Formats: sequence, C-alpha cells, structure tokens
Amino acid sequence: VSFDLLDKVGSVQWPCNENAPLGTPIMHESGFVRGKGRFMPTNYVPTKERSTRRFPLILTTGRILSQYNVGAQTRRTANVAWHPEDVLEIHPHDAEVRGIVDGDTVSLASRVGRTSLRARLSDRMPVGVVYTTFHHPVTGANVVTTEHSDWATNCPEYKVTAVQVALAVSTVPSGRVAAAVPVPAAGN
Amino acid sequence: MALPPDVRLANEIAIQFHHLPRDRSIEEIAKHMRSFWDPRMLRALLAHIDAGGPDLDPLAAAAAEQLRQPA
Repeated sequence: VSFDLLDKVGSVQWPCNENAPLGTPIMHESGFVRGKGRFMPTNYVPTKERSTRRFPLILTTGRILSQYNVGAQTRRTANVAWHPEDVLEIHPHDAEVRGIVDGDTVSLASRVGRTSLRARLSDRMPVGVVYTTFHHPVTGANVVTTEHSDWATNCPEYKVTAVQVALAVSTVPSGRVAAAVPVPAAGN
Repeated sequence: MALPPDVRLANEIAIQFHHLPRDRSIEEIAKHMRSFWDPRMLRALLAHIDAGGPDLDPLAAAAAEQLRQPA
C-alpha cells in the first residue's frame, strides 16, 4: 500500500498485493487458507475455586442482549430501559433460607471482595448457583470475582466464583414478607 | 494458602505438556511464556524461584530459568 494508491482510491483493505492490487474487501470468499478449523486437544485443568460452608454458592457472571460489556456505549442509549441495573438472580430456595425476597438489597461476598446489589428470584438458576451481569460498573461484579484464569489465554475465570449471599438492607415492607408465596419443597 | 497468580498459571501450563519428554516439555512451556506472558509475570515467577520456588512445577521452573536474562 502506497500513499499514491491511497490518494487515488481513498482506502484499501488488507491484504493488498499483486494478486489484489485494490485490496480485498471480502476475505475467504473461495475458502479458508488452512481449512475450516484447526482443533488442538488440551488437558482439562479443573478450577481451584471451591465452594465451602462459608461460600456455599457459585456465582457466574454474564451478559444480556441489550447491553454490551461494561455498557460504556449501550448505557448511553435507550437500552437502559431494558436493563437499568445489574441484579443478582437467585433461586427461590436459596433466597428463602436466607430470608431474601424479590427486590431485596443483598450483599454478595467472595474470598476476594464484597459488593451489594438487588436480588431477583429466578428459577433460571439452579439451586446453588447465582448469576449477575456486569454492565453497570457501580455493581462492582469484578470486585467479587477471583484472579483465577485460563492457562492458555489468561482469560479470567468469571464463571466460577464461590460466594455467599446475605440480606443487606430490606427494602420490602415487613407485611410483604409474610405474604410472600411459600417456595414449594422438592417433590411437592 | 493461595498460590501467587503467576505460579498457579505456570503450574497449569506445565500440566499441558507433562505428556511430552522432559526437554520438549520445558521447551514448550518456555515457548508459551515467551509468546504470551507479560514480562512482569515472568519477573514475578523468577523472583518466586529465587525465593526457593515452593509449590512450583519443576518443569515450569526449568522453563522460566531458560528465559532468565543474563545479569
């Protein structure tokens, strides 16, 4: 690519060579260079993170459709109407034994940190697993996750963090707690 | 007590190459560290080795030694 060429055509897309003097707007049109994929077997390395009596739940973090990563772009759009805050999804059984009802502010603590956010009772999560997103920095999800990472890429292990959840500040009038629908026990 | 991150990562890298002969394994571990590790991570690992290197996989330790810059 030369400045002369750029002056003539404005821009070119890599690769630009004798076979494609005006660049290559679309790559791999006739096939990939080394086939459709290259699979490498790797040994399984189990996580060192362990749930214990002190941290009996597993936190997994993830994304939702309407926000992108920490939301630097998407929180400035009307998408915030769909996801105005990060919430902690927790199974009703795990919530009940902790005295948590939907909408309560809860503390979320791991071996490395603690934060607080609002709880949402959800049977999307199995018993023993809680879930939150990390689209709002104020949530501090990364304060709780550990330094564990993948051996090959050093990608942080955001899917397995042993945590404990506790009622922080009840935002629910006391009468509502008594009126809450009992959670059915297994088998009922 | 939790291992320092660089030691834990070095041990997990070593696991991937345990099936190879010793020299080849060390070579592959060193190659991975050279290609993908931030120099600060390697310096931290070498400092760990200099302090006795407890709980560090011997193959990972040998690989890190290969990458040690001459004083």
